[in-house]
This record gives sequence, C-alpha cells and structure tokens, in this order.
Amino acid sequence: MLHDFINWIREDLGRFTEDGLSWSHQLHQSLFMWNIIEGTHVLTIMFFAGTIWLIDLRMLGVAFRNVPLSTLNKKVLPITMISFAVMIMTGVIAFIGRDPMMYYHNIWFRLKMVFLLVALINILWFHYKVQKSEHEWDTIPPDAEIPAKARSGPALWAFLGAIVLLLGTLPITGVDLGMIVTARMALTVVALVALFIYVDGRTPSIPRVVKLSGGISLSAWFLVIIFGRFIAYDWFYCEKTDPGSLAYVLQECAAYQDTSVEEEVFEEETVIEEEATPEGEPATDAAPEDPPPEGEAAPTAPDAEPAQPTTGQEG
Amino acid sequence: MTFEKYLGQVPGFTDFVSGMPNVWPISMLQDIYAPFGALHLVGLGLMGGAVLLLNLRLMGTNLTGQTLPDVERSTRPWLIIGLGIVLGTGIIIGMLNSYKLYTSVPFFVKIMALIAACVFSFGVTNSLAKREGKASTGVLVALAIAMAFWLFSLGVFQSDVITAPGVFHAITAGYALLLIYGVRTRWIAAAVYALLYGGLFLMYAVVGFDTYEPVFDVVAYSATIGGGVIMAVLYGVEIYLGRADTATPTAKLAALFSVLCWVTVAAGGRWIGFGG
Repeated sequence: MLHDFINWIREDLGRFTEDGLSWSHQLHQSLFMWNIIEGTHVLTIMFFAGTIWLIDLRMLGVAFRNVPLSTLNKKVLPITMISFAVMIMTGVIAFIGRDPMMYYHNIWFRLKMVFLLVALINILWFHYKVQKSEHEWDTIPPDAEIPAKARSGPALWAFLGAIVLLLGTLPITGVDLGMIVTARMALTVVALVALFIYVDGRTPSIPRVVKLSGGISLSAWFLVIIFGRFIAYDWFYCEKTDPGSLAYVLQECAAYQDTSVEEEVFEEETVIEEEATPEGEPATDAAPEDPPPEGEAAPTAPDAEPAQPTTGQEG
Repeated sequence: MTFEKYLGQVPGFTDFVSGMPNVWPISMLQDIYAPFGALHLVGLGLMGGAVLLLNLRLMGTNLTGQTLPDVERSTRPWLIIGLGIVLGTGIIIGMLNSYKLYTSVPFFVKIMALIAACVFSFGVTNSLAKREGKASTGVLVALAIAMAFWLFSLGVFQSDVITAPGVFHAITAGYALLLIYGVRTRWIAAAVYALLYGGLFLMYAVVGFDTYEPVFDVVAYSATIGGGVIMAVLYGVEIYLGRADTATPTAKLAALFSVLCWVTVAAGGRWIGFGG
C-alpha cells in the first residue's frame, strides 16, 4: 500500500494534464531546483546536528558544564527545532524529486528512517519522563570534581584499544567483506559502550538515565546522517541486488522490479505520444540534459576508483 | 576558476595530482571512501554548532547569561574536534578524488572560503570573544585577510554558471540568523525571504520545475542578488541601531561573516557533487 502511494507520488502528484510530468519528474529534470533543495537539506545539518549534539553532550556532562541544562535548552532548542523543520521540509521535497521509489526501496533510507524514529521516541521519553526531575540535576555543582578514578581506568583504555583496532582494520583488504564489516561494527559498539562507561563515571551528579538519553540522541542522529549519506551509493540498489539475498528481501525489491516493468511501459507510451505531436509544434517533454557529469577523465587513471555516489548525489 | 588554472602550468604538477589516489596509504583506503564522506558531514555538524553558538553570543544574543570568554571556552574543544574530523576526512576524500577536485570550481570556492573561515574562527572571533568583544589591531588585520578570501570565494561561486545558485545557501543562512538575532527587523526579514524565495518556488511550481526558459533564470538571479542586498541592509539596521552590548559593531559583523563564511565552505563542498 505504501509502495503504491510512493509510486503515485512519483508518477501522478502534480501531473495536471495527460501528457504533463509529475512534480517528481519535473524536479528530477530541473536545472538547479533539486540541487538547491537537497543542498539546503544537507547544510541544515550544521545548524541542527551541531546544536542538538551540544545539548546531548551537556546531558552527558561533557560540554557546557557551567551552564544549567534548562538554560541551554531554552536558548538553543528553538534553533534546533527551526532547523529540524527546515530539514524535514527540504528532505521531503528532495525525496519527491529524486526518484522516491529508489529511496523507498533503499536499505540505507530505511535504516535512516528507523533511527529517525528512535531519535524522536527518545525525545518523547526525555521530555515526558526523564525531564520531570530536572530540578535535581539541572546544574552541575561548581565544586563537582571529576573523581580521580574516573580520569583514567579500564573504560578509557578499552575505548582507546577499540579505536586503535578499528583504525587497524581500515587498510585490510582481500578478506571476506561480511566478516570485516561485522568486526568493525563490533569494535564500534565496544568503543561506544566503553566511552559511555568512561563518561558516566566523570559526572556522578547527573543521573545515568539522563546520560543514557543524551547518548541515544547523539548516536541516533549520528547514524541518521551516516545512513543518509550512504543512500547516494548504489551498493544495494535493487537492480544490483541478488534476488533472495537479505538486502533484496529487506528492501522489498520484488515490488520495485514490478514497478520498473510498469515504468518501462509508461515510457514507451510517452514516446508514441511524442511522435504523434502535430508538425511544427515543439514536443513539450523534450528531455533536458541530465546533471552534468563529474569532472574530466583523469590523464592517468588510478588503478582502482573509490566507490562513487550516483550522478547528482556526490559531494 | 580552478586550481588547475593556476597550478596546471607547473611542470609535472597535474600528473602528480592525478596520481594521488595511487599513493600509499591512500591507495589502501579506496574501498572505504564512503564512510569518510559520511564522517566529513558529522564533523561539519559538530563544528557548525560550536561556530553558531559562539558567534550568536558575540552578536549579543542566545547564551547571554554566560560571558563571552565562557562561551568561547565551552565551544572551543568542539570547534577543534569538528574541524579535525572535517580536515582529516577531507584530505583523504580529496586525495582519492584528486583530479576531479583539481578541475572543480566549487572545490576552489570551498578551499578559499575554508582559509577565510579558519582565519575568522581562530584569528578573529575567538580573539574577540576572549577580549569581551574588543578588537585589537591584530584582529582587524586578520579580519581584513579573512574578508578578502571570503569575498573572493563568493565572487568565484557567483561567477560560474553551474555553481552560482549555491550562493543561495549563504543568503538563506543570513536570513535564518536574522530570524534568531533580529529585534527590529525579524519579521521584515521573514516577509522578504518568503516573498522572494517562496515566490520563486511558486513560480517554478507553476511554470514547471523542469523549465529551461532563460527568463526564469534572470528572475531567479535578480531575486538572489536583491535578497542579498536587502539582507545586508537589515543587518546594518540591527547592528548599528540595535541591542546594546559590550561587543563593538565590528565584532558583531565579524561574527555574522564568520557563520556565513562557514556556510559558504559547506555550500562549496556540496556543489562539488553537483558539477561546475
């Protein structure tokens, strides 16, 4: 049902005449509009993520220790919320304008939505539950010293060790991809847990539940950005995914392939209609050029090219 | 204007640049190019928060309960960490894409703006904040250098037909700051922005987002320039007739330009992907 709705957005929303184009196709073929919208979406990260992360870091007792959390919330949250509104608005338009079916059937987009949901649930949990006792931990006492045992200790060493190992895995090639990715993810989780334990020990005056909420927010928005960026890469696009693989199932590629067949039929019909355009009348749907290709071919091409985002999505 | 234009005459330099992806250890990182690109954005976000809060305070708004040196001390580590992530990942991404960037106008814009932004942050606004908004001669010299690089980058941005629309991001950021900072002109700014850019969006919705008629480009170009000029006038009103604070008008202007300069850096980076 959602699949059909997304397809309706792609093919029919804003298409007011039989031979007209939907807003989705118009935006996709626009000279600059999609770039401006998507660029604004990405740049809003500077204002949104930057401000919410500083609040999260304060909840963890790491940043702005001399500012009461309520003051920081009161002053900084309005910027965060306005940026969030702009980010959602431009995100929705960018989604509509760059093949919404591709986004909908993309594993990274789905993961992005999952962590967006996690972040929003965390906000509700913090606002309606955790924040009720804010007066007890709003201010970090000025004389609150970091306990000596929290300045170093096993958690810090575990964190540093995990990071060193993680960096050590980066140059490894020629190993099973699934294994190396699993190892990197495991090391990342170990590093994050160790870091949380380390940070938790440094500010005993802030309840653990507040720090947990801050940590969840920080991580969830981090993953939203990371997965959002990965959408541009075609590693798991349905066209390239083996039927029966986990990615194929999770992305509901079977439904996507069905739509692709319908789309081909639609394109054929459009071509026939264009051929029937009366002589002397310009074809209304003359296909504009795609976004310009990237750069020029290098004089001496590197042995292997890094994975590149699909055209128009690089950055 | 690209780096190729300036450095392409140096014998062997173009071959050196195009061979960068094969240089060890960069050659080993080609398979994990994508995570570096994503982390680049994370660094940008972290840095953006620190830059914004310090400069808003310098402009006399937001964290006004804290002194300027306090806010500077609190934001400094995150500015440095964010910039470290941005530069670290940026160098790797850049070396893996060396030739493409060497011939890219927005990359040239980004680097010019980045030089300006670093001077703004580490030579101007941080020093101003430490001195409660008072500008020394050294700070004024640094401000002049930063302004020269930033205006140059904006000029290059606007002069290239493919990248020119990217200037819109800096103007939008300026209006967004006016909404946060403005007292007398907040609602005028909102109305002007909605009228100019909401109007442009509506215009394209009516004539078709995929229109290639030059007349609409002229309208969009005029709206961009007009919006920029009106924004500058509104800031003039706010700063010179506005709130009393310890920071001088020069310090407030420097703070504003610092934020807009970092937005130009980010916009340049994003438009590398769109061509030009």
